[in-house]
Amino acid sequence: MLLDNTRFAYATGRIRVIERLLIDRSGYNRMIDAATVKEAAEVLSEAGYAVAGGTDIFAGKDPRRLGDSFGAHEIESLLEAERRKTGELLMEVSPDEYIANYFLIKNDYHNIKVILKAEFSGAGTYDPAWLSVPGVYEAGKLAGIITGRLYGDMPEIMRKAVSQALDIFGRTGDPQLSDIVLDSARFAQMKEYAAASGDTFLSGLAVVMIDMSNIKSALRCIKLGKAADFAERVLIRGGSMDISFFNALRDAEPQIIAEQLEGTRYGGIISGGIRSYLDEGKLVSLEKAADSCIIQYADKAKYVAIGPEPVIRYFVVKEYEIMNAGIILAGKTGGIPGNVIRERIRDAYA
Amino acid sequence: MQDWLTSMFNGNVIAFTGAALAVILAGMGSARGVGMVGEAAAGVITEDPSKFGQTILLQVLPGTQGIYGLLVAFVILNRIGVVGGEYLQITAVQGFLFLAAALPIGIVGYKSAIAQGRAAAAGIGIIAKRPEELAKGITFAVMVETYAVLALLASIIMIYGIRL
Repeated sequence: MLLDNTRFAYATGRIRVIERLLIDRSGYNRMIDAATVKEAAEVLSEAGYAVAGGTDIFAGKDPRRLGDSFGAHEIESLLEAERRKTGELLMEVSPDEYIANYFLIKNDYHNIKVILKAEFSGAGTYDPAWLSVPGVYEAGKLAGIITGRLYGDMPEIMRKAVSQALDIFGRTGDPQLSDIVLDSARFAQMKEYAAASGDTFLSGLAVVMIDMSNIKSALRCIKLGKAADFAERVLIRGGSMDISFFNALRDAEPQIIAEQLEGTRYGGIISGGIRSYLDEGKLVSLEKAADSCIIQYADKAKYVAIGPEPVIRYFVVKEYEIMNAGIILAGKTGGIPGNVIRERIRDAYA
Repeated sequence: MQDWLTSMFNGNVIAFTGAALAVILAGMGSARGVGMVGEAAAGVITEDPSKFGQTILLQVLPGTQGIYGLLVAFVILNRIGVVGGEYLQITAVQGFLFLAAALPIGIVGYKSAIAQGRAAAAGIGIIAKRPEELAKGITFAVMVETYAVLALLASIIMIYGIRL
């Protein structure tokens, strides 16, 4: 099925206006160089954070109206409100449910983990604030399905993953292993949504995201000396690099591993991050380099006039913008020097 | 059956078909083009209603092909006397000539209106981000118009070249 990209005319027009608010390099610099956390958060207000449809959805918490106290709770609330607003915008503008689902399903899998952890811990309850909304499925409904074991309304991949997660926890008592199953299922489902949308750009994005997850997981397993079966379990199928490619690297020297990965299509972008992680153990560098690959892929849509690509690019960039805002605000709250924060933030919108 | 076939190859029926095709194809293209730009413009207006005046300028551009199609149909009908003058009974060959003359604006009009709609929708993106560059957005879309005008010209020359 091929996608009729003219269906995205409305979405593209709307996104073109909204993307002017995305924070660019100078915006991040202003945040990093700000004297106080509150001053840094003001840059977010200018970028439309905490405001939806001209009204303040974050009553009383708009940084411009706050006092000097702007702590971790306020930061998380501000970012969560923006995530929610972005998700709702995605559902509103996307004429294709699969494209919206592609981005939102992450929240469902997060919510499944919260629900299962509450069950595993024996508490049975969880704070609704821990849930991420909006998802493809309403969080309450999802909880009802899982606790009642009524999987009928769940898609096949999710159903299998939840059953498997419960089974693994029952056998091992290790919630981390259950999380691995769910993470793998999330990517599989994203790939399925991308294929169902008929959009090759989105399918390509799914492949890049799976590749990045696999590169990070494989390197971490190698570095931490994890057992072969554990490494096999964390690697996700559906990327451009076969699982056997990563298996072959397991016992190789760091220099060889780096060279092999540099030979892939991501080599030029991810090379520095890989070497930095293997040589100095800097996980942040590796994660930043992997995210750069995803951002650079999304940036291919920069000059596409009409179609799903500009919409997809916006939501990818927006996700990283919210991540960057969190890194900067948390960094400033913790008194981390500006140059260290600058090293950690992902590529800016340009 | 024979009557039906005879009427199918009646010159006037064929000329009418040509006139209809000019209106239908060019009109369909324009409707798609204008609709596409309208959707993109609606997206911009949802976020920034002040840009209505600028977006409407781009939206009208793909509408011209539909007008050209109507013009060609009008000229065909005028030549065979349906609109003004005396109604002529033309031969099948003359009818096919009118049909052939309608094709340039019908086909080029259809394709160019959609292409112009895409260019104008891209121009809407320019307005969204850099409203001061509206003229450039219009220029890109207007370039497509050249080919619709050439097709119109070809159709008109052909129609007036048919001897009755």
